[in-house]
Amino acid sequence: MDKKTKVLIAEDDKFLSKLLEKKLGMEGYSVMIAYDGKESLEMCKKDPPDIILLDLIMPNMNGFEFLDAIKKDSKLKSIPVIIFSNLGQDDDVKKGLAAGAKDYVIKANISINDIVAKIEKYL
Amino acid sequence: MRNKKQIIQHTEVFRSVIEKITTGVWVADKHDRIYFVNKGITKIAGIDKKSMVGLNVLKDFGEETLKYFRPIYLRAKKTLKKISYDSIPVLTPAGVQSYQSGWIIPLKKNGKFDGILCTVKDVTFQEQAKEKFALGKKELEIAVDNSKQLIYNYNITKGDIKWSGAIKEVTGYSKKDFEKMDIKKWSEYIHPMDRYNTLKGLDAAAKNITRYSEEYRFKHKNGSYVYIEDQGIFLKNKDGSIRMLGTMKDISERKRIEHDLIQSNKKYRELFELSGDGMLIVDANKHEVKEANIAAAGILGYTVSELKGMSCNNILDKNSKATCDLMSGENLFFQKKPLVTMEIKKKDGSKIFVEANSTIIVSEGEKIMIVALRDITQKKEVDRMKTEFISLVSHQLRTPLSAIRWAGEMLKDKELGSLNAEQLDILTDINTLNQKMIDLVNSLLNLSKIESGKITVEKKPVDIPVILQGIVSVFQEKILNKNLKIIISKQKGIKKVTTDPKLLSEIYFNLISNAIKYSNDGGSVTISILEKGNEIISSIKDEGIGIPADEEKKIFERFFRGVRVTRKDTEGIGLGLYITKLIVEALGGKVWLDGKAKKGSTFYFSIPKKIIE
Repeated sequence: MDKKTKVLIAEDDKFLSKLLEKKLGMEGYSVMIAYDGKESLEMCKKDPPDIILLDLIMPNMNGFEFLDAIKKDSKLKSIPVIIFSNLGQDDDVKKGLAAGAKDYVIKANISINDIVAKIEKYL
Repeated sequence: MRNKKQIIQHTEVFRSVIEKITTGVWVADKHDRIYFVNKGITKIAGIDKKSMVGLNVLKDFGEETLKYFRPIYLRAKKTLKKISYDSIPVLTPAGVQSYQSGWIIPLKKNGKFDGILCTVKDVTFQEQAKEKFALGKKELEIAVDNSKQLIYNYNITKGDIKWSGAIKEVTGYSKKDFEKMDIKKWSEYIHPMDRYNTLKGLDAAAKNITRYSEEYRFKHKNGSYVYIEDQGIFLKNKDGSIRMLGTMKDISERKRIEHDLIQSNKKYRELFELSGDGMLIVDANKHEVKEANIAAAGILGYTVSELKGMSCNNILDKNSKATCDLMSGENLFFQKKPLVTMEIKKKDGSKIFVEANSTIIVSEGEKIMIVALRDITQKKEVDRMKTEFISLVSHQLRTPLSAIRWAGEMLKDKELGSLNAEQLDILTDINTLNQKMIDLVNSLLNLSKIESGKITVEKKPVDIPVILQGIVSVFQEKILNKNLKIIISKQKGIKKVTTDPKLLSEIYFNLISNAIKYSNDGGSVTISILEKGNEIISSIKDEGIGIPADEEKKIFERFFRGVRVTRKDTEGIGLGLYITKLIVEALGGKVWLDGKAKKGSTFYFSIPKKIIE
């Protein structure tokens, strides 16, 4: 691999993002971390990632708003997004997928190894 | 002094008058020989004048007649005083039996007997009527005396009263007890509460000599009061005396029924009026409100009188499924339909949630629908808040739980450095407990989702054996550990069913998970799929700890945990079967426990082959 695959982790929980950073780093990904939607969007514009792991409940700009914003951006709209949230109502899942996310994952119900598998799947 | 001419004239007048009257007249000379008859007599006797003139009164009248007539005639002749005779039977020369009345008037000349003038009136008809009446009167008396009604004939003026035989039955007293009776004395037997009105009624009728009808309580000889219906008429006799002719009837039984009816009507009316639930009585065909209670008016924001006559379409949303469920089924008499929840618009336009059910009954030949309404807007709001709370809390719990899960997994995979045996052991326990917490939170979330009606049912063709294989494979490790035997049997010919695969999986998952969990080592779990009519019935049978009979009914309740279960496993919260029941119902089926299973427990559930919305 000439160039490392860039994963953007949009996650306001610092411990979760630290774990993911460590795991994905060990798996050979280049990891970018943002703690809210606004920061995530800025990062994307500066240096577009190959895939985005998106939390929904975040300060400043929530996950849905972020998703809408990148889907309106012609340069960013093709980046695959996997929603990682602990919101799990049917309405949330429908809304997320309708907004263009590739998948909707409930964090508590996925093992960290399966996260890597999900990323592989949508790259 | 009258002259001869005058006398002749008088005689002529006298003759013409005598000829014209209908009363018969004949005149006999002092030798009892008839020498004059008028026209009237020929009609009465049925013979002509010629045949009658010359007859000897004491010889030719016939023995039958003379038996009565001779003594009177001879007396008049002897005393020279006129004598009346009344209704003597006469066999006329024509052979007809008749009755005659009249006068025998002796004629005198110089103070001596000079003949007889007899007037004759035919009273046959009157006599016959009298005879008939006499007979009728006798029969009537018998009838009256034996009537169940007490009949009385009271001559107020003379103060004498006649009672029929029913006096004993109605009042308990004998005819003799009440031989002397007057209204005042009678009124003493009337209940004080009824006395005034009764006397007032009688008084008014007496004044106008007319009919009366009174109802009052009468003190029976046995001391209790009986209800009497006293109907009659005041009559004025020929002699001017006043009479009361009437009947008395014991109507206690009727009164008791009337009273009971009024009381029970009153009771139901009160129940209806004061019920906390809104009640509408609706014409089942026209769907028009006939009656509404105060609560219904309060719930709907109208007044009771506004609701009466209103069409249900103005109150309920006629396009909603709930309304259709509620109002349809005109032939389901006496069948209470299941409770429906619906949103309705109040008079002021505000929206509220109500729970409603309806029952159709036939009342006095009319089909009516009784609709009960309960305002559950507040309950709904509380439910919504509760659901939101559970959802929020669950989300907040799941975030740290996911962090622990991922960290634990990374530690276990030695991705953060190696651990010694003891550390690894503890870590495994942490991971297991954490997973239990995640499962619990997921259950709570699932529950709040189902209970708030957010459960969405998809329809897809489902292959049940494939689903079962998938679930059994999830439990493979436990099955091996406990050395369990899993038997899946499917009736031949069952094709794919149309239902929600995720929800169906969850049902099987919960029931199979329990069967495995509560099985003893080396036991077997049998899963059978049968087809019955339009339903698929699945059974999950284990040979485990079983369920005591007294827990059978509670087993599907929320947060219920069996005694044997808590002894074996302290961590469950009693939601599995409750959720299972909710899901089965969402799919249109039923879940139940075989109460007769001797060993272990057997759960059954049914789902329609094709899900109906």
